Amino acid sequence: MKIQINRIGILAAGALTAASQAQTQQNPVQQISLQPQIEIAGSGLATLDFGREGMFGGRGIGSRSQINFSDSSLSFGVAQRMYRGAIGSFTLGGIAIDEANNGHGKQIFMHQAFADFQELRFEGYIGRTNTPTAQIVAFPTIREDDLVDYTSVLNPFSNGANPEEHRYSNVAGAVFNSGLHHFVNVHAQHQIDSAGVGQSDTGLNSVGISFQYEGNPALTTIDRFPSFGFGVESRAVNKSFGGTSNVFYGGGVLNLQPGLVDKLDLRLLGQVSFGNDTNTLTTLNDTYRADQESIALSLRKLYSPFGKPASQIALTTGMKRYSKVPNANSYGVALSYGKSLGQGFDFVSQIGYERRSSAMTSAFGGHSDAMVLQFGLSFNFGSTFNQSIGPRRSPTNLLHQYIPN
Amino acid sequence: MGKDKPSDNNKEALGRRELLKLGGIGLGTGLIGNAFGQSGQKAAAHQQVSQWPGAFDPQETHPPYPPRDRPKPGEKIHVHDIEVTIGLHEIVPGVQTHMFMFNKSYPGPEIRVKEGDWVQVNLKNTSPEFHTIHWHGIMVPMEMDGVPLGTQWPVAPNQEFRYLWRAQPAGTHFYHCHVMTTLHQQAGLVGSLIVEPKEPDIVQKTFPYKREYTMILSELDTNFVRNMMSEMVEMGVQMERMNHSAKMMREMNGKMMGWFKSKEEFVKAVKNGYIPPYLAARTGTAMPITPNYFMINGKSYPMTDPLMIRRGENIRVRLIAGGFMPHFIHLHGHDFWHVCQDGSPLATPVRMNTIPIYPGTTSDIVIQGTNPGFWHLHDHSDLATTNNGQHPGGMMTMLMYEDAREAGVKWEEVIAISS
Ligand SMILES: [Cu+2]
Repeated sequence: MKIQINRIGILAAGALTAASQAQTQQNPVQQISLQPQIEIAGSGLATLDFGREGMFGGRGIGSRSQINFSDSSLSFGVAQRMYRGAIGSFTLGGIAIDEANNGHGKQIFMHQAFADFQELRFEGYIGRTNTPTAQIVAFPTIREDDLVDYTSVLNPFSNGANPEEHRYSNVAGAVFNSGLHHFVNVHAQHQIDSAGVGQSDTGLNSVGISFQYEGNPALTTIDRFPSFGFGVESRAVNKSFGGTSNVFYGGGVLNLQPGLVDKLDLRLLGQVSFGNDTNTLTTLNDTYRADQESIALSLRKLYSPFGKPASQIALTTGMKRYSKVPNANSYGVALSYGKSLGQGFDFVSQIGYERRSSAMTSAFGGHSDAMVLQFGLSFNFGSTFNQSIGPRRSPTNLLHQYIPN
Repeated sequence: MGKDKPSDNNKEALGRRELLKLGGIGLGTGLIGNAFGQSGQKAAAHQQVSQWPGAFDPQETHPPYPPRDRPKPGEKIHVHDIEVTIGLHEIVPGVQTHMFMFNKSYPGPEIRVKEGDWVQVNLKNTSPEFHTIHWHGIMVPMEMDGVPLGTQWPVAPNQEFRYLWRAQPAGTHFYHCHVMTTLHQQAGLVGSLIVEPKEPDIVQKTFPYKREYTMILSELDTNFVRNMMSEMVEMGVQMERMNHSAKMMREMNGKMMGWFKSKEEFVKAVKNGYIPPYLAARTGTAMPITPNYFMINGKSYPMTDPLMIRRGENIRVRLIAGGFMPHFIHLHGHDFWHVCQDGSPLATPVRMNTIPIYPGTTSDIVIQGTNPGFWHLHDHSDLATTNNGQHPGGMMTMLMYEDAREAGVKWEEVIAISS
């Protein structure tokens, strides 16, 4: 009975009435304990883009508009405390993709749909969410997928239509931690196989393990190494497409100049993939699964007068080369600027450039370089209703005894 | 209730106090008690009481001792060490919350002294936040009033501050941290402060009693406390780290904390990019504080301690509004006497069965053992008799007759606890 009530409570707010009716005891203040915490979070991002013909930033083979609202997203989550202190939650969200002539609902990619159970030392989650390889370090470009060829571990099964396929996948993960600082994530994934190069058309096509360190969130601008991690992933690419592709990756954030007002930091992601025999690059998918070495570096200056972030400027660069394709290499660079106009609301602009050697151009529609200039506005927001649960890694929980609330 | 360690068993503490009291009372109490107990009627209650003040003295509000005096050689100084830490407090089983604590207890230890005695409190702050202690109702010299940035610098992490004041006027008072009171007092920094009169106690003389109870009434929004405390701890942790960097110490100044010497300085800072918290509110408007736990001495029903009484006995209950909401304490099956307000005796005791207690006030009542049984005592604003919105709970306890069985009350049939 109670288990049912819980399930109803998680599934839909509309079912709450039924759940409260199932409660037989007198309840002068109705329903309150049966209402889960509800969170809405999102990001609105729209830019005017100039000069995008050359597939900047991993944006794929579809048509593109100069009025670009891709990476705008909205997520909805419900969470509830379990009887013995753990927390259960479900999150559902969509993110806009970058294809101008793709209307009628195809413009939204479901990037979150997962259930999560967490307690002090263990977290288990299953569903569509960020691929574990994309969690090590986030870069300060305007969009997550700017310079995605360097700033993400690429999905060897993607056909390149949507860069979201590099960052989100179907995952079943188990995360163990010590002290809420060191995390080991063991997972199996189904990465989206839009290119149809996986060993089978269903099931799991990727397994991996990653380690991550996260410092105290209060000290992200002060600790020398606030976060870093590394991992290995084995992706089951079909033999006729070169066979299994493995990747080692690692990265993190280094505060070169820690501080609350003037801060300078460096982000790094390096990766080496091996085991796949692809030796020509004719499609975008070839460029994702062929063995390669790449590195992304980003230098960011954050200015926070009176301790409140007001503006940042970041220079992000990436370069890669393919180990089994002669003379195949590329690099990219983006200079990004953001200025805060209000809490969470920023003016953003970016100039980006990418160049690829001739061995790569046929995969990129014949373009050897790409340049883009962007201006726009971004609004990151989040709101919590019926709050009953705090962040697991709050400074209080980290420094004092942990309580599951 | 509510002496040294309210979170623990208070019976021992009560026992000690009881003994002290017994010394001064003599036989009379027992006789009156017996008379009540045996007759079960108000036979003795009709005697006229003449010693209650009644007369009005316009100078009554004057401090009995000059507040700016210093201790003279030979005068008694009570020394208390009080440390502020962050700890876990359990309100009811399964509900724990991080709180600031005076000497690892919520509420803090009861301070009990004689009027005219000197009190020295060594406040040691081992939490990552700033604190002070304000002596609510005490006529202290201004420098000892505990108002941060008003009468003193707040006591920083790992700092100590020595308070010294003379206990006056007599009565039921309390103490609390005065730094960001909405958070710090709600998050645990409150304790009772009883100044016993030097003269024979008028309440004792009129309503001879052996047992007394202190009830600190407070309420808590666990979400607010969690969120705000996390922000405070975050800032504290940052400051601790910045102490090791000259660059960051230069960056971190009072202005970043929102501290300004004058309105002009504040206005200038806003012009230069300082964003006051009210402009930066994350959700458009700040979230209103909605308390979900209501406590007596830090515990919610059914974990509140009962008041014990016997037929014919008087008990004195000191009600302290240590929170930010009014409460309307109602006792079933009895009227009681409201005898003191904010520490001082009323012009005449007032008979009631429901007493409003407004934030910052204290009320002393005397309950007489006239109706054996087990009786609810609770806030009649019934939002406060819930735990996280579920009734029963909250600000509720029982008046329990130890001799109820002898009086024919079949207590086995009474369910004393429900949740
Ligand atoms: Cu305080």
